[in-house]
Amino acid sequence: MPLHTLLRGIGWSLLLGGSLAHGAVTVTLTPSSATLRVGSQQKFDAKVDGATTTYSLVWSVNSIVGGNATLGTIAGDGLYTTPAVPNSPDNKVTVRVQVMRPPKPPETAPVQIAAKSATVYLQNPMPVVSALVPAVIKPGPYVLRILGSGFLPTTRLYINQKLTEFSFVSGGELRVSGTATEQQVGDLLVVKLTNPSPGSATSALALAEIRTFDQMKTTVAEAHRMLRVATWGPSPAAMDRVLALGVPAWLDEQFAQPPSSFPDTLLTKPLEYTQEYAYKLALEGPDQLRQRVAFALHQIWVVSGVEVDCAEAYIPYYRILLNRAFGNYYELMKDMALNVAMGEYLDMVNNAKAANGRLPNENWARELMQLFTIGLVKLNLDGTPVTDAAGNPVPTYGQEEVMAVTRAFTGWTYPDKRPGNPTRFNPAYYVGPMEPVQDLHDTGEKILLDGYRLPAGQSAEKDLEDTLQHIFRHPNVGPFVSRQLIQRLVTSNPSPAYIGRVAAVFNNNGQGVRGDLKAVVRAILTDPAASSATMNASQRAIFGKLQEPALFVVSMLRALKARVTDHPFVADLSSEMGQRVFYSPSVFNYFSPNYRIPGTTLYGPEFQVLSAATAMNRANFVATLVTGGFGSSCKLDLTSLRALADEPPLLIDRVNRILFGGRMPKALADQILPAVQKAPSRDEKVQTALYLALATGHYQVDK
Amino acid sequence: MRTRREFLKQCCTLGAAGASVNLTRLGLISANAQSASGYRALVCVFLFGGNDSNNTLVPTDAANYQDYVRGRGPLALPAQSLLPVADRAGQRTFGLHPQLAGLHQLYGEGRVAAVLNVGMLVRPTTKELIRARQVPLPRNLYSHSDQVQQWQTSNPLGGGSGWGGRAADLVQFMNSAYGFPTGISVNGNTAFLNGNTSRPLNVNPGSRFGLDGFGDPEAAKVRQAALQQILTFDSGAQMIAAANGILNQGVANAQAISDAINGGTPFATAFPNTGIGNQLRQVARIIAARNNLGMNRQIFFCGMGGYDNHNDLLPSQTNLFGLLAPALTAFYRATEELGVAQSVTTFTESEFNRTFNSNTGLGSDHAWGGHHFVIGGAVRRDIYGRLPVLHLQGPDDAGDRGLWIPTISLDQYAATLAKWFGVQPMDLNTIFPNLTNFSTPDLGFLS
Repeated sequence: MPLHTLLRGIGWSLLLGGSLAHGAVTVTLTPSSATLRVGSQQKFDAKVDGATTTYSLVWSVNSIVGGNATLGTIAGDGLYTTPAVPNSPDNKVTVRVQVMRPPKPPETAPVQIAAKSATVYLQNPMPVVSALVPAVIKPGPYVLRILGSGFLPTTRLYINQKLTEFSFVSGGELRVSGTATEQQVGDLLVVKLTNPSPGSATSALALAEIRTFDQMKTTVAEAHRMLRVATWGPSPAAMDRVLALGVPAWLDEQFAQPPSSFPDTLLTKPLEYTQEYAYKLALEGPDQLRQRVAFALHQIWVVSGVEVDCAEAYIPYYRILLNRAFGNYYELMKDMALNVAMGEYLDMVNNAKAANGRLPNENWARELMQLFTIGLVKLNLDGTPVTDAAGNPVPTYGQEEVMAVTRAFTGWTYPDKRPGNPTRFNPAYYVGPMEPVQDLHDTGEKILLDGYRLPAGQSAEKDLEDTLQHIFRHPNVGPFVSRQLIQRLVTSNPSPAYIGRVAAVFNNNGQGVRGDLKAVVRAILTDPAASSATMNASQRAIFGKLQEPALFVVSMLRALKARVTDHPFVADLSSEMGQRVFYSPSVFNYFSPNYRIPGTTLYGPEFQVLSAATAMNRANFVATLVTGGFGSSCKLDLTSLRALADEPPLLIDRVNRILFGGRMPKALADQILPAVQKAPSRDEKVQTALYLALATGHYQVDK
Repeated sequence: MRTRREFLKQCCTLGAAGASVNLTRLGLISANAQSASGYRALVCVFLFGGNDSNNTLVPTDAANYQDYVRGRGPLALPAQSLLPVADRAGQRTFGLHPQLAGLHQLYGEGRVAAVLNVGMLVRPTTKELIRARQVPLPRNLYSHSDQVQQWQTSNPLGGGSGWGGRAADLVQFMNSAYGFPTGISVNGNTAFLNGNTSRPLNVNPGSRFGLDGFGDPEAAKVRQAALQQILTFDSGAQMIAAANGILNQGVANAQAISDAINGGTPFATAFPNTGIGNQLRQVARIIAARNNLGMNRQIFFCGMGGYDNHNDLLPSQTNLFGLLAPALTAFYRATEELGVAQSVTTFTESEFNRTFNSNTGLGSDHAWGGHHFVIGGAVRRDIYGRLPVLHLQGPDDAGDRGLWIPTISLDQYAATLAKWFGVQPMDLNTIFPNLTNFSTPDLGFLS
């Protein structure tokens, strides 16, 4: 091996100048100093001036020619390679180049004719995470391998901002073991590595998802949409469940969930406690679909605590809604007809047949038809009104029919727990359905709708059942009920075609059964018109509905994993936004299905309670909530979001996923980003992202 | 009863209330405001549920009172309990419900007009015409929701803009250029004030306006600016645009609204601390700030529920009128104190009267025409209109139970109010398309 080749390898090089210098020889070293992360290289250039003869360059590190593994090595061309770790304690080395001329006898060794040094400051490596293995963590104990480079035994590992112990495998792998809890399902582990000084450096964030499944059975967008229309809101855990099962199987699971209901201990407490418990069920109940459908039915079959301010009466009423949510509409009608709370609210209880010129109370008969079953005008299957030759809608009934139906429902009283029928009206008592008092029942012939005749002499029970069946069989019920359920669950302005498809299922569930609510709910939720995914722009323009206050509050709390210890305050919040749950102001409930948005031709029932003031209450609620203003009453779990705040685009992505199912409009994200960047702290970045995402109609309209 | 509301209020003090929105546009207002001398305001008090007005104004002449007792049975008020009033000519005598003492006092002072048997009509209607099917009837008589809407829109087919809003459309030019809404509801969203061009503002008592800020002041400014952009960019979804527009209206008017509620001339008149009392007090406060706001015409909507008394009518009405009358009286006194009694007219609406005869639950059911009150300094005291013949199945009964066929249409009642308010006579027929069907477009109860 030629000498120069050998020398090059360890810091020598042999160069030919013109002639040996007699004057001053100088050398310049570029760069004159350097700051290097270990694991990197730096080329040093030596420029020799004034040399007139052959010379050679000798490179050394801390006076060791060619350097070594601890100090770093330097090649004959000046290429410095750092050691694997900075050389403690001072973490710097001196790179020196010597210009040597050959020895002249009697010199036996080359002679230095010039030299220059440069200081190299050594820093720890940049930690880079290339992969988390596994990227998906199931609940339970796990071992997470963090792969990448630049890892040190002294690296600090943060998972969701929490300093976490690990085992150091190599500069390219760390391992951490832990346990993912059920509460974390659907959430993230946000991994960040920081290497200490010298040259303290932090990795980009790396994410692992805690979930229960390997393969998604549906898309994030679809799962999120389904949860917004079918539940009290997409919590991370609920998202996980839909993604794991896919929509059809998830619906099956929900249909099979037994009702979670109000405990009997509430029966003797003020109704407010029941109202509060309803929020607890909405927030936490595993039977989310049932809870949501029951609330939708409650907005058709109204009983208001303003008049029936008594839990003993109200709880049995609401239990009917929960029990019949997936049952048959006729059974719901019958349970409601005999429910004491409804009986009090609409005056069917203790309503006697005509006597002394006084006629029975028409309230129940009228609202049963107008609000709960058929409505005022005859409907086609698709919900459009049947019109006469002049183009006017055809009434379903008139005053005479109201009076006839009223008579059919006379003679019912409070239960008395005694065997046999009571013989006169009982005082208020709420356990069990109403009981008939045959003597106070009008047994005359009644001509109901469209000439349908109830013969004279029938019992109170027979008249009641015949009348309910007669109404239940009316062709209006399918479109009338379907439209309202669609409005409550999916969209304020369903197309006639959508109503028609659902109403057809109401009329026949495929097995010849009319009024099967489970089939109706499934048809509503899975209809193509329930999703904007395949809509054109004009369809999309009118699609969706404003979240009613209770749903707005609860869905936000679910999405942000709120731990609520004080349900009264949740109830009050929704009241301040215009919806006092269980205390609707009148028989027209919290808002009318036919309320139109001012300045448009669109229906928007929930807009009836949206004013400048209540819209501000919504925004201010968001501000208070995300800044922790409710204290321990309601604490959000923002752990993983806070961990993402270091990288605002990732934070906004995550907010998008949690609150929008990945469908946040780009223009919205574009506005949020600079505001988040401007926020000075991690907390405030999260608060800002959530506030801007939640405060406006972009979030509050389900679509 | 827990004090959760108090708790909530404490929590909400976190941000500086209302601090984040600061409008400088207010400077424009005073300059543009017209003199207050021409000021006029209408105040609608809607009695939701269908007030049984058969018992608000009871005829006390022997023949009619006998019919009254016969027809009403257990729902009849004893003659000696009624508060006596007579028409201007002194010919017809009536009694007010005993709980309407405040109105009785105001009637004595010449500040009240009673209007008999007002209701929704398309054109003059009689029993014969109905039987012969020779007259179009308003849709869905006896249905709460439809009749509420029709009384608010004057549209017997239902739907469309409110008549108060259409009146506001026509008079809002008299207000300052600033654009503070002419229509103000203190009882939630209502069709009554939705005009074709004007949008009301909802300022329920206790409403808090202004967005709470939080965090670093500089960052808050950036966030506020972002919110403003977010509220206005076009998402292609009408629901979103509508919701954002409503919030934006609050943001834009927050300062003006706070001024309107808090910045007006103080007044000493005490209002009852009831739902309707607080609503009318809120209206008085906004009227008191009219000059600051540059308002020359305002129309207000108040409401009170509980009138759907299918059961136990008498105790319910005692309770309801005991709430209503003191609030109405206090409001009139406040307008006196503010020097605007001549400029403010208050009137009642309700979706329907109730059946004349009782049901078996000592209540009454849905009916049609009923009596109403108009209160204010500009009112010509009298009892206007014709009392129905109080016979079940009689000539004025649309059915069997005393469902009075109105003899005055809502359009006439409303047009009389709108004309006084400043709507030009030729515009009245536009606002009330069926008004031309009636020979007396002005009932004369306002000067």
